[in-house]
Amino acid sequence: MKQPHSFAELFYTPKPAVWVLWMRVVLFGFFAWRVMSYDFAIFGLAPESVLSVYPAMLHYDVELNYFLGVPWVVDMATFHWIHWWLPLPNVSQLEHIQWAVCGICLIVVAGGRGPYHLFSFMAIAGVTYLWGFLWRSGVIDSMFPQLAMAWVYSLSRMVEPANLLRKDSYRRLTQHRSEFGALYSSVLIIWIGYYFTSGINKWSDLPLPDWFNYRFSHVHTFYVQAVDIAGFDPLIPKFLAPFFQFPLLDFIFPALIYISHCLIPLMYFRRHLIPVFMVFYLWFHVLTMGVYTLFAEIIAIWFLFIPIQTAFEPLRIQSAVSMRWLSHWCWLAPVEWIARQSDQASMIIDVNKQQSYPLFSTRSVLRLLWVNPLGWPLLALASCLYYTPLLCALWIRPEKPKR
Amino acid sequence: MKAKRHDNLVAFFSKIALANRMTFLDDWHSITQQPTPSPSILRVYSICWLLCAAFCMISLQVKFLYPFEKAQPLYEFPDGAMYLWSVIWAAMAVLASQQSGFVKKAIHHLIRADWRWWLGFFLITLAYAQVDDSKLMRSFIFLPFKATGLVWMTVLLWPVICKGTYAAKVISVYIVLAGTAYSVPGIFFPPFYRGIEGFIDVPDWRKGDDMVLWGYQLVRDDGARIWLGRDVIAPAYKLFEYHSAMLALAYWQTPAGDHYTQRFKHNAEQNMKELSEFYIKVYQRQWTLLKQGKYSGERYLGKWACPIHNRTRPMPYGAFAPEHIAAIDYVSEYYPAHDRARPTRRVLMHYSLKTHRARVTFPRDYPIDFWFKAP
Repeated sequence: MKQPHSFAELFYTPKPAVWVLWMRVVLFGFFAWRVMSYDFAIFGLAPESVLSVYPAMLHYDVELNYFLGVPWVVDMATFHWIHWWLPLPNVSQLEHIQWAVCGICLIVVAGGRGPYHLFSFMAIAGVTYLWGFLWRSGVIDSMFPQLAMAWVYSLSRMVEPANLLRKDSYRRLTQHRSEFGALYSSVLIIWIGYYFTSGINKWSDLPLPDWFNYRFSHVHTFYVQAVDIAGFDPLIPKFLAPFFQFPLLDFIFPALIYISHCLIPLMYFRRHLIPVFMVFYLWFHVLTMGVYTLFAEIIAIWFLFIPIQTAFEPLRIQSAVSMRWLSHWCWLAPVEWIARQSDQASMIIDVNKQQSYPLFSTRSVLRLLWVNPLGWPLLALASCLYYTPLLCALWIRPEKPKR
Repeated sequence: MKAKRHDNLVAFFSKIALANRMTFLDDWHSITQQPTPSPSILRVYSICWLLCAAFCMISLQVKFLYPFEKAQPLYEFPDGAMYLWSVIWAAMAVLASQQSGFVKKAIHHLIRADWRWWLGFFLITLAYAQVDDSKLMRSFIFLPFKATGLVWMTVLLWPVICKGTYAAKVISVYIVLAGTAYSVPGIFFPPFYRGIEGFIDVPDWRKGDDMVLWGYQLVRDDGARIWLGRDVIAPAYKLFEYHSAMLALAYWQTPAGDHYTQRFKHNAEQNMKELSEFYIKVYQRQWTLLKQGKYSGERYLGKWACPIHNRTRPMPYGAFAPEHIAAIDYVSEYYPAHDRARPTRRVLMHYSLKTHRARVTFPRDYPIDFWFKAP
C-alpha cells in the first residue's frame, strides 16, 4: 500500500473510533477538572474595577501585547455581553454556574455531544463564560487551543462512538474511518499551531542575541534565595535543582526550545515524531517548574496523542524475530513472558514467518507493554527513556510500510 | 447557463492552489496549472496592503486612547516608524495595483511557495526587526511577512472552504481565522490565540547579588507580617502581577490635560482601596482552607485540583485569622548582598482595615518604570 505523503492524504489517514472516545474523555474531562480546580465564586466579591482589567490593559506597562483586547471585543467573545444588561452574578450564582458547567462537561464525557451537539456547545459556552472572568481580571489563561479543539469536535459530523443515544455505537471501537482521521488531524493542526505561532513569535519578539540570553539558572537561583532568605511564596521543587547548576545550558536550552517550536509542523507530516515531541515537551514543561512556571493544562492536553488504540489491537509476534531479540536484549524476555502469561484477552498472536508483516522495530518493547494493563504503569517510564530526542535521533526510524 | 462569478473565483483559486500542490479537492488533477498570476491576485494583494496601511494608521490612534506620555515617559511610542510603514504599505498597494514588474514577479514566486523568495522576504524582515528594540514595533515589522503568509494560505484554502469536504472546511476556516488573529498585532479574541511571546531577559535586579522583592503582605494587629501568595486569590492571581494595572487604570481614568498628578493619586488610592478590600474579602472566604495548609483552588477537588501557572508554597496563614488583620500592604523589600539579614522595607501602598483608606506613596528615588513593572 502506498504511504500517504501529501497534506490532504495525511489529513484523511484513518483513525480508530476509540481515539475519538479517548479525545472526548480527555478533553472534556480536562474541562471539568479545570473548572472545579478554581473557586470562581470569588468574582462575586469583586468590584467593577477589578473586573475591568481587560487584556488591553495587560502588558500595558511593558509591551502592549493585546492592545486590541478592549472590553467590548472580549465581552463579545466570552458571552459577557449579557452583562451589558444583566448584573454580574453573585457568589452563590457563580457557584451554581460552576457546578452546572462541570456537570455538562461530564455529560459530554459520558455520553457524547448529545442531540444537535447541544451538550458540547453548552459545555464550550459555559467554559468560555467562566474563563471570561479571568480574561477580564488580568489573566491570559491557557485555554485557547483546548477550546478550539472542542469547537472542531463539536462541529464535526462524524458518527460518534460510544454515544448515549445510540446503543450500536459502542461496538467496533477499533474500526478505522477517515472521518475520525480528519478529526485527529484537525486537533493535531490546532496543537501544532499553538507551538508554531509561539516559535514565529520568537523571531519577531526577540532580537537574535536574546535567543541566547534567557538565564533561567539566574531566575531559579533568585527564587530559591527569595524563599530561603525572605520567606517568599514561590514553590520551587527541590528535585529540579541539579538541572539549574550549569549556566552554560542557559545559552543552549532556550534556543533549542525555540527551534523545536519552529520545527513542530514536522509532526503533521511525520507522525512517528509525535511521541518524540511529546516527551521533549513534557520534560520541558516539568523543568519550567524550576523557574516558577507550570504548564499543567498543556501537559494534560499532550495526553490526547497517546496512541490509545494500541491497547485494543492484537500484537502480532513473529517468533523468529522474537528469538533474535531475546538473544540481543535479554531484559526483554521477562517482559514478553509476563505479557504472554497474563494475556487473557488473546491479544498476542503468533504469526507465520511466511506472512509479510513488518519486522519488529525497537518500539516492540512499548507494544508489549501496551498489550496488557499490567504493563501500562511501566509504559510511561519506558516512553520517557525511549523517546528522548537524543536516542530518537540515533535509533528511531519511520515504520516500514506494510507490503 | 451563465457561469456565476463565484464559480470563476473558485476556479481561479483552485488553480493557484494547484500550483502549490496542496489541495483537498478530489478533482485537483483535472485543473490545469496557471503559469503567471493574473491581475486578480494583484488586486487581492493591493487591497490587503491597503488594509495593512490603514491598520497602521488606525493603530497610531491607539496613542490617543492610551495616555502613553503620562504612563511611561521612558517608553516612546514609535510614531515615525509607524508612519513610515504606512507609507511603505500604501506604496506597495499602489505598485501592485499598477502591476509593477517586480511586485508581479515577487507575488508570482511567493504564491508558488518558492522557498528562496520566502527566505529572502524573511531575512529582510528579520534584519529590519533587529534595528528596533521594541517588541511592539517588531510585531508591526513582521506584519507584512505574516500578512503575506496569511493571504497565501487563504488562497490555498479557498477552494477547500468553497468545495471541500465538511471536515476540511471546518479546519480550513479555523486556520484562516486563527492566522488572521495571529497576524494582526494586539488582537485578542478567544479561542484564537497569538501564541506564547518571546521570553524577555529578566530585569537586572534578579541577576545581581542584591535582591529586591515586591508583593502584598498581610499585617496582623500586633505588627507581624506574612506574604500574601498568589494561590490565595486564584483564579484572579495575575492581579498581583499586574498590581501596576490598577495604577494604569488610575491613569486611564485621569482625563488628559488635567493637572494629573493630584488626580492620578486620588484615582490610584481609590482603585487600590477597592482592590485591597477585594483581597481581604477573598482571604476571609478562603481562610478556613488556608489554615489547613490547602490552597483556595482545592475547595472542591482537594489535592487533585489542577495547580495554577505560578505555584506557591503553603504559608502559615493559620496564625493570621481575618479578624486580626489590621492592614494590607504592597511593599518592596531590599536585601543587600553584604547584609541579607537586615532588609530595607518600603511600603508603597497601605490599606488600613480600621480607617478603610488606602495610602499610595511614590518614592522619588524609584525609577518611573518601577511602577509599571511586574514584581
